[in-house]
Amino acid sequence: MPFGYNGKILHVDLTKQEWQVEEPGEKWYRTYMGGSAFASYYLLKLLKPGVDPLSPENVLIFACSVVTGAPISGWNRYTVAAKSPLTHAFGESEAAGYFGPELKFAGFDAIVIQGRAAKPTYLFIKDGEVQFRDAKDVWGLDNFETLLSIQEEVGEKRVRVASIGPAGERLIRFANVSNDVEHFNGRTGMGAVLGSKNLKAVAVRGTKRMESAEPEKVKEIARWLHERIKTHPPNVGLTNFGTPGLVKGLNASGILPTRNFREGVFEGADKLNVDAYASILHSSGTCWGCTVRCKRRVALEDEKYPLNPKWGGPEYETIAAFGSMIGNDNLPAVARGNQLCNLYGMDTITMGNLTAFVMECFENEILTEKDTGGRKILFGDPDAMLWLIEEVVHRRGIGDILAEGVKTASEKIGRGSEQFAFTIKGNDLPLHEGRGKTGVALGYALSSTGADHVETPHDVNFQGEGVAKLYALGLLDPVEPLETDSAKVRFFALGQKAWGINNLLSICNFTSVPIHAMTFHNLVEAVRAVTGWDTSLYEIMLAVERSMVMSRIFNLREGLGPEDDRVIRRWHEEMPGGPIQGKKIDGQEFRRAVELFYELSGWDQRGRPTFGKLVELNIEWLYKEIPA
Amino acid sequence: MTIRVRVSLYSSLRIDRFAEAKVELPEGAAVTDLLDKLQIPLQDVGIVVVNARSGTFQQKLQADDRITLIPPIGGG
Repeated sequence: MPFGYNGKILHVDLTKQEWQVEEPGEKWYRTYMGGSAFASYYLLKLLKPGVDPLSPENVLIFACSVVTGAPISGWNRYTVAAKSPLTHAFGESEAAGYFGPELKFAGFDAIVIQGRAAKPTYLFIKDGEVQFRDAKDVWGLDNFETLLSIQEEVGEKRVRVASIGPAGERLIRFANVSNDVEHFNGRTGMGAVLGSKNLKAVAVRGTKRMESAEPEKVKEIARWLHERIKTHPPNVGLTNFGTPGLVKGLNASGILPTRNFREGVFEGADKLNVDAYASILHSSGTCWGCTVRCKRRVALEDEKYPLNPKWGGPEYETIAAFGSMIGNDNLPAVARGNQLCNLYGMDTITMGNLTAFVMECFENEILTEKDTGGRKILFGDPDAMLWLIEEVVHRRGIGDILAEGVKTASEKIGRGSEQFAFTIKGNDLPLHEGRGKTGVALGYALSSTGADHVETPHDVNFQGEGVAKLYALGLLDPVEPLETDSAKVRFFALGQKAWGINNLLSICNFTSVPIHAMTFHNLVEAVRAVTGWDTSLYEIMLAVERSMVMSRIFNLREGLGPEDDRVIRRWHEEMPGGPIQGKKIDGQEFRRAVELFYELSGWDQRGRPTFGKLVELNIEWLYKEIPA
Repeated sequence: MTIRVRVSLYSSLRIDRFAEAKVELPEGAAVTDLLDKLQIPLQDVGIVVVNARSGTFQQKLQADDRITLIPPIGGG
C-alpha cells in the first residue's frame, strides 16, 4: 500500500454519467508527484490541440499531490487545471483551504473530468464512491448559498465543496472555483470550464486519514515547523498582519501597481494598509492543519458597503486590484467588491485589471458614457468598480464584452483601446510591478499560465545577505532587483524550480521554501517520511522542471511561441515617479535574458525543449507533440 | 557595556535612514532592540538575516554581527 497517497485517480465522464478508477502505480506517482504535473500529464494525453476550452472536449482536472493531507502546516493545497478559456493555453490555478486534504481522505489523489452533463449536475464523492447529483436546485445560486444547500442536501456538515457561482454558469472567462467562499482557484477561468460542463460543484467527504511511512518523523517535523512559524519573521508578519501587510512596503518602495500599472506610488495607500484594515477586520482564519493563520475575515454594518464575515476578506492582490490599481482608497468598498466577486465566483485580479482598463479608456475618451448607458467609469470611483462587477456578472451592456477578459474585450472594442490592455499570454497581471522586480517580470513572461506571480520567488527578498535563503541551491551572490543580466537569469531559473516545489507538491508558499519557515533540508526529510521514498532535493526539483516543460509543450502544441514570452508595453517605459523613477525594462536586454533562459534550460532558440532535455526528464514520449 | 553591529537596510527601510551603518546596542540586545533603536515597526520588516543565516526577532546579537533587514515586499 502506498504511503501519503491513495494510488487512485478518479476518472469521470459527465456525458455518460460514468466513473472509473485508475491505479497508475508507484513509478508514475514518483515521476509526476502531484498538482501541476498530474494536470499536464492528463491534458497532454487526453486533449487534442485546438479544442474550444468551453466545449465538452476540454478536460478538467482537480489534483492534489502525493503528500497533500500530511499533517504539516501548509500541506493542504490542490490545483484545478484545464485548457484556459481566458488564455486558450495551459490553464491552472491552485487554492488552499480544506478541499484538497478532504479529496485525499475521500480516496482519490486527483479527478479527471471529461464530457458535458446533459443538465446541471454536481458530484458527491464520499469514501471512494461517486454520485452524480441533480444540481437544478443550486444552479443560479451564489457560492455561499450553494455551499449551504449542498451541505444540507448531502446531510454532511463536514462536506467540502468546490463550486462555481453565476459567473461560471454564464461562462465568464475569468470565473473561478470557490471552496468555502474563502479559498479560490482564482486564475485562468477554471470556473467557466466547470460551467461549460454543466458542473456546478464537486463535493467531497472522507473519513479516513492519510498514512505516512514514518508517522513519528512526520510529527517531529510538523512540531518543529509549528515552533519555527512562531519566530520566523516572514511568518510572524503573515500571522500578525496577513497579506495586507504588503501594501505599505510595496508603496514605500515605489512598486505598488497604481492606475493600470501607470505608476508605482499610490497617494491613498495609507487608507488601504494593515492599519486601515483594522477598521473592517473581524477575525483571522486558516486552512487545513496550518498554524500560520494568514487569512482574514471582515465585517461591517454599513448601508453602502456591508461586509459579511462568512464571505471572505480581501488579500493583498485584491486590495491592490480594487484599490491602487483603480485609484481607489476606500477599503470597505474594496472589501465589498471582493465579497461580490467571491459570491459570484469571479477572479478579483482580472476584475481589477478590467476595471482599470475601462477607467483608462474613459480617461482617454476611447470609451464614453455612450458605451455604458450613461455611467462614467473614472479612476478613484469605487462605485464604478462595484457597478462594473454587476454588469459583468449579468453580462449586461458593456459587461457582456468585458466578460471575455481584458484581451478579447479590447480587441472587440478596438478604437486604440489595445494600448491600455495589459495581459501576458492573454492573462491579466497579478499586482506586482515588473520594473522593480525583474525576476518577477521574467516569471510573468515565461510562465505557462501567462502573468503569474507565483512563478518565481520575488527577487526583492534576496537583496544583500537575503540571498542566504538560497545558499542551499548554490546561489551565493546577492540578487539585484532592478537588473536583467545573466545573474538574474541564473537566479530566476533556480528560484523558479525551488518555488515550483510548492506548486508541484501542493504546498503553501507561505509556510515553505525558500522564504517562509520550512527549510529545503526538512522539506525533503518530510517528503521522505510521508512517502517512504528515498528521495532527494535533486529528484524533486527534476520533477518540478518536468512539470514546467510539460506545460510548455502543451502551449507549443496550442501554437504559442517565443513572441508570447514577453512583458507589457508599459514596463518598457520609464516609471514616472517615486523611488524607482526613470526605471524601465530595456526591451533588447529582456529579450536576451529570455533567450539565455531558453539556452540554460536546454530549449532551442524558438523556446522548444530539445530532445536531450526530454531524455534528461524521462519524458521523451512527448517529443512527437512538439511542433516542428 | 555596548556592542557594535553592522546593519544593512533594503528598499523602503532606507528612506530617512541609511543603506549600511554600524549601530551601537547594549550588550545582550536582540533584533527587536535594534528595530526599536532604528524606529522600525515590526510590521515593516519581512526578512531578517543575521550573519548570512535566517534570523528571528528575538535573536540575541553579538559584537560585529551582520544584520540585514528587508521589508515585506514579496508576494504570493
